[in-house]
Amino acid sequence: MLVGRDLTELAKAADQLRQWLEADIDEDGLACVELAFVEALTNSILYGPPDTGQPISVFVDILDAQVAVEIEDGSPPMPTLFDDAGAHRLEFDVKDIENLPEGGRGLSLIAISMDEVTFRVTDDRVRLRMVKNRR
Amino acid sequence: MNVLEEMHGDLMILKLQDPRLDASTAPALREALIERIAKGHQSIIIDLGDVGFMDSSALGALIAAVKKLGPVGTIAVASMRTPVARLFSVTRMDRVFAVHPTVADAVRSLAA
Repeated sequence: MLVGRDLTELAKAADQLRQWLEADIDEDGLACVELAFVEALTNSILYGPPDTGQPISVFVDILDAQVAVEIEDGSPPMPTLFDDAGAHRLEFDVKDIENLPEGGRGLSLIAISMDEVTFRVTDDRVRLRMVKNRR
Repeated sequence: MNVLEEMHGDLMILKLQDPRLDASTAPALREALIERIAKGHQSIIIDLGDVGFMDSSALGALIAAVKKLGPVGTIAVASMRTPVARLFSVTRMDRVFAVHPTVADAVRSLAA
């Protein structure tokens, strides 16, 4: 699937992903994959290289025990940012709502929604691979 | 942003009618909430029963609203479907917003 660099493409891309995966993973797992996919795609649309005019490529791999979703784009700054992503980044002081950040949760949501997140960097492209185990 | 608005005494009930809340709809959600808070509404129940998907951008819009409201008011959320409830749970937002199983429960709680 090719996705244009426009946030209005998110819903259509997520619907397509659901159609591809719904027969191969349970609803809870599918909801996790959909959330991770939308967060990653949003990152690519917002922070990927805007000048190339190239769409973002999405690949799906259905294996015996896993489903994998891959997003390939120019060089978004995600690989290093992922180093510190995880549940601990979602902690906050509930008594200090005034300073609660409105954003910055996307990468951590990807990390905790999926069982495995890796990157493959080739020339000027980065491919994010997100794997969810089928139960 | 499709929002159905209903008043129950001083309580404002907002039914969000978009099935998906993501980065493409989050700015409109933020504006819809901030606008109503700026008009003086301090007790707001957000009915999420029609929302099947929500991401961190939409969550950010709700956080902006609760910060705008400050400690004087309350934003409650009700009728969350499973994926949305999971998002609130993993991001600990169920400690920021009053979460109720139904709008009627939220009305009873906030009116008390």
